[in-house]
Amino acid sequence: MNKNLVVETDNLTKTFLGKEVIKGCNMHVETGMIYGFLGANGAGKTTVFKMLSGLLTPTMGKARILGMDIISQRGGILSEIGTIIETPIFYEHLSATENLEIHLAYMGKDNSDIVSALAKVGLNDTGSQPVSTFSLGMRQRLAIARAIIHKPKLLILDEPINGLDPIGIREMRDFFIELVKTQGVTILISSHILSEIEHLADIIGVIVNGTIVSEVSMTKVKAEYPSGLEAYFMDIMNGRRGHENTN
Amino acid sequence: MRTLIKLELRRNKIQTYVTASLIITITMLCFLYLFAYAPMLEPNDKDMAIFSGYDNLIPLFEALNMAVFCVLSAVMYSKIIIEDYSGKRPVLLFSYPVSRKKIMLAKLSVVCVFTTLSMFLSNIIVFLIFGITEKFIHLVSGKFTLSIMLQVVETTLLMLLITAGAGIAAAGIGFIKKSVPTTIVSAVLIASLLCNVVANTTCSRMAMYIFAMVMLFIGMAFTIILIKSVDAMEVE
Repeated sequence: MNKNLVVETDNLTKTFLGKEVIKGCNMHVETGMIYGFLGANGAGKTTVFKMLSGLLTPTMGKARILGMDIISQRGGILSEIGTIIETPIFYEHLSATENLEIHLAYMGKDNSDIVSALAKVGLNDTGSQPVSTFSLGMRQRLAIARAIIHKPKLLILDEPINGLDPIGIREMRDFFIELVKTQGVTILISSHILSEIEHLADIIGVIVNGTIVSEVSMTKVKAEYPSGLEAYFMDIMNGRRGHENTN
Repeated sequence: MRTLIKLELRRNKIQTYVTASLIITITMLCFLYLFAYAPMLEPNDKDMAIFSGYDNLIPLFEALNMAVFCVLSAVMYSKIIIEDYSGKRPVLLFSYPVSRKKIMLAKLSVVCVFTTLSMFLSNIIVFLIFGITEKFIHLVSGKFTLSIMLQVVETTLLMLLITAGAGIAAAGIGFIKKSVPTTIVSAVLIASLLCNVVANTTCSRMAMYIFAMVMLFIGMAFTIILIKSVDAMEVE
């Protein structure tokens, strides 16, 4: 195993009712990188994220996160990662602070950073307002605060900017980049907003029909496609580019 | 485990169930007076004889209270277990680096301990108030003595085991379907069945003990099923 890899999957496969949804998936995410995970709807992005975060068990294949096996060392992995998978779930009748307090209690961490975490995502003035009254954007911001508050080494973010306004998107982008630069966090992020991934990612992984067909650096994509990530993505989707892996 | 139980208490509104238990206690006290007064309405009606004397009155009342607390526990299991493991909600609990088995055990403990305590207190309070008023307004033949109160405690303890087993069984059935209505309907059906069984075992104390043990065993079996299910559960 490559010690520089935070996420490493080997032939990861998931079958639902006899149908292979993820087939021989090989992903490599290096330490301190932002890995943009792209794919069409139903390609298997969320399923891969769910397997990595212990919500689904792979039918075949292996995966290691921070050197730990995703099946036998699930607890160890969960304390080192922060996740947003699909629509974030909260304790609706409790405030943002109480939600984070409970999260930290389950994570076995103290409550000292709650105020600063809420301030970082722009939710410092929500007081005792229950989460049930939050807008979609506020919920997304709280989900980001919850994902980072226990100081994880890896963030797995599935469509984290859904529901955010342009200002919010910009703030979160800067925030993610700062996390990587200042705290050495590795980020695995998926989004349908290609321009956002273009601004954020160091490495691009593209999944097509359950298989990662391409893992290339953003620098290479920019060099080959001056018009941007969208042209590269479309070429892969239309089969004009074959499998490639620069790792 | 204590921390997990505290967290369950913190994120669930237990006050609601305390209020429900108080309302049940007051209502059941009224029912006890009704049961005790019923034979006086029709002194010559032989069917009313089932309410006459403490030997009949105690198990009949306790069986009814058992059914009510069984449904209350099903409502709690629905809120604390079934809802938390339905739809996309398990994502929340499964993202914590805590054993899924321990979280499930904490949830079962919260409901089981709460219903056991509240049912015990409810029964004792109801019979204590009834016993005190019996000194002034005599409704039941025979005196309300300490031995009668001990009989109440003994029957209550047996009913607690039956309620705990029945509640967990309803939660287990509801968990398989991940459905709140299934949990509550199962509890109502199980409680109705148990009321009939208990009503027919009033004459034999040994039969009551065996029945309570059987229900305890069923509760333990469903606990194991729940713990194993949650450990292997996937969120699609």
